[in-house]
Formats: sequence, C-alpha cells, structure tokens
Amino acid sequence: MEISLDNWVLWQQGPVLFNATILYTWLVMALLVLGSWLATRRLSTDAKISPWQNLLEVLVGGMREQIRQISQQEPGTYLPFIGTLFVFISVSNLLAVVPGYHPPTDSLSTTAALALCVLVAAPIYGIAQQGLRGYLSHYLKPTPLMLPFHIISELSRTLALAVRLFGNVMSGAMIGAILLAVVPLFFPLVMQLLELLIGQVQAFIFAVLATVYIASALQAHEETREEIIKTPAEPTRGGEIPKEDEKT
Amino acid sequence: MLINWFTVAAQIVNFLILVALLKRFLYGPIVAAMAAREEKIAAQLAEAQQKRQDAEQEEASLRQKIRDIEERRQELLTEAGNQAEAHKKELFSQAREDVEQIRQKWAASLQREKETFLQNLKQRLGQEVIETSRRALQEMAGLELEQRLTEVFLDHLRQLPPEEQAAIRESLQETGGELLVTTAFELSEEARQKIAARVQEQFGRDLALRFTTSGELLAGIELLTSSRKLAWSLGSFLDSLDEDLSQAFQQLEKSEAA
Repeated sequence: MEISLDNWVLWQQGPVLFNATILYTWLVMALLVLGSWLATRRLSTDAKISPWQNLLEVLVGGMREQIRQISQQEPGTYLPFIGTLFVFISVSNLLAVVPGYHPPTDSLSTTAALALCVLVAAPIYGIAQQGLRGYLSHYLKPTPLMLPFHIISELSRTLALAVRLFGNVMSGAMIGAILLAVVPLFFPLVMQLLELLIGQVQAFIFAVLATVYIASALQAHEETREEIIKTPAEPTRGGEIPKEDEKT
Repeated sequence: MLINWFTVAAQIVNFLILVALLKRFLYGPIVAAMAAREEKIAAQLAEAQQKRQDAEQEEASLRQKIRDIEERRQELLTEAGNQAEAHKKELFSQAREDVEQIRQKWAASLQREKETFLQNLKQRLGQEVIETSRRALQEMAGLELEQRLTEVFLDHLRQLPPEEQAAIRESLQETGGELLVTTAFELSEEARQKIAARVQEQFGRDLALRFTTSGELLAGIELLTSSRKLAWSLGSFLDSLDEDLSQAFQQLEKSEAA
C-alpha cells in the first residue's frame, strides 16, 4: 500500500498546506492548459487541419455526442464541466506511466472534491435551466405532500452517486496495489497496462455518472433516466474506448 | 485513507479553475472552429451544388441552341432548295416563251413572205395570162377580143339588177350626168356607139360619155360616175385564180406538215 499523497506534505503554514496531491494536480492542469493553448493557438477553419486540432476535435466532438445522447440535451452548457471532469481524470491516470508521477486521483480528497462539485453542479444547472421557482416547484409535484420524499430521493441519489464515484476511484487504486503486492516480479508491464485501462474506465464512468446526475436534476428527468438505462452510451468516435459495463 | 478537508477545498478550487481555463483555451476555440468548419464546408458543398446546377443549366441551354441552329440550317437548306426549284421552273418557262415568240415571229415572217410571194405570183401570173390570152386572141381573131369583151360588158349592163341601176341613176343625177368609160384598149367607133346607145337607153338620153384607156385594167371595161363604179374585166378571173393558188399552197403546207 502506497503512502497517501495527502500526507506527503511539502509545505505547511497553519491549516494551509501544500502537499503532493495539489502539486500533481497543478502539473496536470499546467499540462492541459499549455497543450490546449498550443493546439488551439492556430486553429484552421479550412477543410485541411493540423493533427493536434484533429485530435482535439475528435475528443471534444465525442464528448459532445456522449453528453447529447445521455442527457438528451444540447451539450453546449454542460460540456466545460463534464468534459473537464473526463479530461482531468483521464490525463491524471494516463500519466501514471511516467515514472515518479503519482496520479492526484489516487487521493480520496480529490475524488471527494470532484463528487462535491458534481453534487453542487446538478442543482445549479437545474436552476439555470428552469429558474429558481421552476426548479423548486418541481419538488412540490404532484402534491406538496411529496416534498419530503423528493428531498430524500435527491439526497439519497446524490449520496449513492458520490459514493459510487468514490468507490470506483478507490477500487482502481486498491486493485492495482493488491495485484502489485501479489505479483511484484512477473507482471509489472501487464499491471501497468491494466492500470491505464482502469484509469480510462474510471474517467469515463465518472463523466457519465456526472452527466446522468445533472440530467436527472433537469426537467423530465424521469423519462431521461429510463432512456439512458435502455440505451447505454455508445463508444465515442475515436479517443478512449469506454468499458463501463462491469462497473455500472 | 483519511480525507484532508483543506485538500478537498483546494482541489475544488483547482478543478473550477481548470474548468474555466479549459473553457477559455480548449472548448470555446475548438467548438467555434468546428462550427466554422462545418459551416464553411456546408457552404462549399452548397456552392459546388449551385455551380453544378448552373453548369447543367448552361449545358441544357447550349444543347438547345445547337438544336435551334440545326433546325434553322435545315430550314434554310429547304428554303434555298425550293427557291432554286422555282427559279429553274421560271427559267424554263421563260425559255419556252422565248422559243414560242421566236417561232411565232418566224411563222409570221414566213406568212408574210408567202403572201408577198403569192402577190407577186398573182401579178406576174395575171400579166402573163393576159399577155398570153391577148396574144392568143389577137392571133386567132384580130380585134375580136375587144368586140367580145364589149359584148360581154353590154350583156352585164343589160342584166344589171334593178337596185344597181337605180343607184347608178341616182349617182348620175347628183353629178350632172357625166359618165366615164375606161377600157384597157382603144375602143372602135362602132363599139363606142354600141356602148353609148346601150347606156343612154338604160340611164337616160342626155348622158355625156367620155372614153379613156388605162393599162392598169386587165382586159376589161369600167363605168365610172363620181361615186359609183361598174366594172367587168379579166381581173375577177385572176382573183379567183389567186384564191385557187392560195388554197393549193395551203394544201401543200398541210401535206408537208403531216
């Protein structure tokens, strides 16, 4: 079992501290922003485009399509939030192949922070779409008697999703750690590959669950959820191949 | 496995900052670029479609023009052919008319020549006949021809129809009763007296008679008032001879033409 990144404190002043989780998060953020800036600095609007632009267009287009299919909504508003969830977790886990690097997602603090973000984002999107009154009146339907049950339903669903996200991330790290402990000499390469795969699956699941949760906070979420259960998300065109079946 | 709450708060802030940065540097530009590219490609496709339609229309109109030109050409050819045919017919009919005119002219001149020839023939023949007759009569009977002619003339006078006689009488009264008797030969005194007696018996006693001779008369006697003429001569025989000759010529022509 590795040392938790949170406990690897580099600098501390009272309650304010600077540990490895934050350091690696900043590294990933810097990498993402720098890469995006470099790639989008000279965007072409012609038929011919650079490979980097092509890669990013495939990535963003795939995410937009996924969001559209899952939430049955236009993805414009949700793309930055959900897309960033996916890209951040994906790149964090992908960089695990670099020696000396520790994914910030290995930290429970990080996953909890992301789950809290999703928890808060869902009502915000609902209010943004329907207005405060419209969103709250949704709790009084079909009769005001249903209000406590609505609240319990929302909270429990939120908790369930948060715990599931949390569990997914943690399980990935746990499985990796246990397997490494069991077969330290024979399977390092296979373990690395498995780790990469699990990291990508986690990223995808996190993003999909966030989408589902936000969509459920929007109007007509009951029907939307049923449709999502009937028609699971299709693979994105290009980019990472989702493997959500055994997790969801 | 502890959760460090400060780290959680810091990570939330980090994540929100990352969302803002990526929205600024990644999603915004990429989505805008994709939309612009899609729009541009759609515009290019639409333009290509438009150009293709234009080209097809152009092609159709050019084909139509070629067809029109071909039709026009055929029309012109047909028209030219018709005109040439009409012109040919006109030229043919013109030529036929010319030939016909020439033929008519030729026929007219031929007719004239024939008439002239017949005229000459008649005169010559008459002269010859008279001359021959005169010579023959003189040789056979001396002055008997003149006497005979006088007698025949007197017979004519006697047998003159009453209306002729009345007309001559009337004419004589108008002119004062002078009568001119012209003969082709010199009449004997006896013949003159016979004629005078005969005329005076028939038209009145107080008639004055004057006798002249004229070579133009062919062996005949002519009785002239101012407006009437009573004549008998061989000329009438010659006229009938003339007719007979003309008929003979015509029959000859017919047989030649046949």
